[in-house]
Amino acid sequence: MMRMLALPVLLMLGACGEIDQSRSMSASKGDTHAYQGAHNPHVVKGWTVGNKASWESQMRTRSLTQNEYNRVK
Amino acid sequence: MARMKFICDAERCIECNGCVTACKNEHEVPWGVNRRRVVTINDGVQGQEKSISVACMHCSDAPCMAVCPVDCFYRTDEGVVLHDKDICIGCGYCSYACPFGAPQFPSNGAFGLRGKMDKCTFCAGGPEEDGSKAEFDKYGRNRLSEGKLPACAEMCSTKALLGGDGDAVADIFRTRVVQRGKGSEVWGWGTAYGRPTKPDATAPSAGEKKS
Repeated sequence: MMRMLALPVLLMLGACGEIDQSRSMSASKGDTHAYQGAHNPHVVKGWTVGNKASWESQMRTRSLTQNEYNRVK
Repeated sequence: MARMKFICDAERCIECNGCVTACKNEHEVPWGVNRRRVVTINDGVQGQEKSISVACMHCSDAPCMAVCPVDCFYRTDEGVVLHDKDICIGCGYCSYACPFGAPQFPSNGAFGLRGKMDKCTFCAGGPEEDGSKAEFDKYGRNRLSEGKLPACAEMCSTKALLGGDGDAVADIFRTRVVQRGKGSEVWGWGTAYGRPTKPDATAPSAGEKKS
């Protein structure tokens, strides 16, 4: 009789446990690096997709084109 | 590693709202949400009117990240503050914490009157495959992964709004201040990236324009 009751009691107690939610509480999805390039046809020329140094150089070059003093020289 | 930053030059901004339009068009931002907007003070007062273009400044020590109860924010290696809309619960805490009023909330989202937060991504998308439709639908275009800079800065007609590699845009701004001899105050930089080490620094006088 005791053995027959033990299984349901164990199952019921198990249902009282708390599910660990800690991992779902942060941005664990992750994001890829920008230098890995977009998967679309809008990627501009002038840098090598996947090359971090090339991407950084592209960003710096593109940033400096905002300096119109360079254009009027 | 490049640290991405925005500079808005109040001496140049003419309140054309080109940046606002460029942003809305590039990311197809819904009606009622403005990731970027132009704020004008002393409107109509001769000689005292100043305009600045405001969006998320991607703070070094972002208050939105600090207060978010579900920790949906993250920072990229380039210093861009992004968030995961799949985790955001639309509580609005970030909106109260942000000194720039950057977080925006669509009025017809899944949470009734206030949907999930939307903000400037520095045109860096979000935690979806770069350049994918899913990323575009949730966060807008990922221009950084296309080798481009934010549309607002690249579109700015007077180049009042500069965006990109922090060192590069700071160089451009410094050159301008030296050339014109005034307007060295960079709006929002102290709040977003820390106070300057020389708070009493003044712009060079007219005699020091050409070095």
